[in-house]
Amino acid sequence: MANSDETKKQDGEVAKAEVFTPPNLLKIRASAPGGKTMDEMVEAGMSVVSGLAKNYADIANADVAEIAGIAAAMRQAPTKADEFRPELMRVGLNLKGQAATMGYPLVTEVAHSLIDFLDDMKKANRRLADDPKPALPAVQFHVEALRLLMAKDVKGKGGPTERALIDGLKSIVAKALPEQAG
Amino acid sequence: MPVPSAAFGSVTVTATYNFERISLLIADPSKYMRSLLVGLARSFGFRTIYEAADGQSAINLMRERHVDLVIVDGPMTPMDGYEFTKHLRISPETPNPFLPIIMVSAHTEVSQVKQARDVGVTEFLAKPISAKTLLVRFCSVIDNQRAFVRSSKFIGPDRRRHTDQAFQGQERRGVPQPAQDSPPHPEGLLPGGALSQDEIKALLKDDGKEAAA
Repeated sequence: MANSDETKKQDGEVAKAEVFTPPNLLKIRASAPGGKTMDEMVEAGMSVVSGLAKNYADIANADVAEIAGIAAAMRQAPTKADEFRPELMRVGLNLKGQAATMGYPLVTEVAHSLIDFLDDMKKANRRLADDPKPALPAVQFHVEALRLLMAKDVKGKGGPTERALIDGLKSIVAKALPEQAG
Repeated sequence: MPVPSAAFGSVTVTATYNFERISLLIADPSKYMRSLLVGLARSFGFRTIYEAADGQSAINLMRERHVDLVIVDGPMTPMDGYEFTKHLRISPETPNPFLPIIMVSAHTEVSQVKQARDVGVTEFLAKPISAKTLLVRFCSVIDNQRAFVRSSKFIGPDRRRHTDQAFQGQERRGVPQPAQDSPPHPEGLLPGGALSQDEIKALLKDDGKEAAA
């Protein structure tokens, strides 16, 4: 049986919301005999990840090359830089979402920084074309960082050089971002 | 005899899960990501797995195939995961408005997570994932089923995850009634809070002040 909440609309008229629990069919099916334990499944899953990770460098290098191409197109036509933003986001999200799983956490970190930069520009209602001089070099710095990490095949947390690279990235992004509103 | 599992903290995990009879749909624009998700799902025991590259393809597939559980990315074209979820929840043509939907996305900016919540996803998992984080989400959807809310403005899982113990006023929120035909939850359930810091950061913490309707 459902319970109803009474909530008030702006004009004072009362609207009702129902809160109810549908049957949990997944629970019934997942409870069938012959299941696996969490440990068994995680172990099996980690083997899958290890297997896929063996060829991830090729995938990542292709994505980095694509990002580099997009960044170059932006520099060649800075007034139209924002037209390339969706593609830059798409490839950036690929790298952010996959690299750490495959053993390249610093690539995820750099891609994350790029995505955050693009999101922060959008939140500040600033187009890349509005401030091309700081914005496009900031994008390019991310590209170079990704190239470097993949060229050196940096897995794991990296060393002092890589940390300095990440710190430099943060500094450049901070300078390129407009003052946050509100 | 329960075997303490260090991998999941101090929780004693006794439950086993059989995913063989659960059909899974994975909608992600990246072929590589789909291969990862499919591979993980197979290793967990799923036998029926469908793939789609975007929300519209997923909807088309669901017209032909029965699906019990969905993993969907956020950004996709031509139809993204938010539009897909909204369609499943409110379209008159939906095959199942109560379908569990796990959004697995790298776009974890707060507005995106809020949007995912507000269109009615069941769970949100931030990429990059691991075998463990994905499995925890599957088990959470199964073991910690959320109540549903239906109102003039929203159909989807109850977005209220917290009860404010300090609140002294009258409890006016609807209390969901448990389904009577589900088996009792076994002991040693994986807690829904087995999250990484990134997941906690990505997930929206509802303070109970936002009404479901």
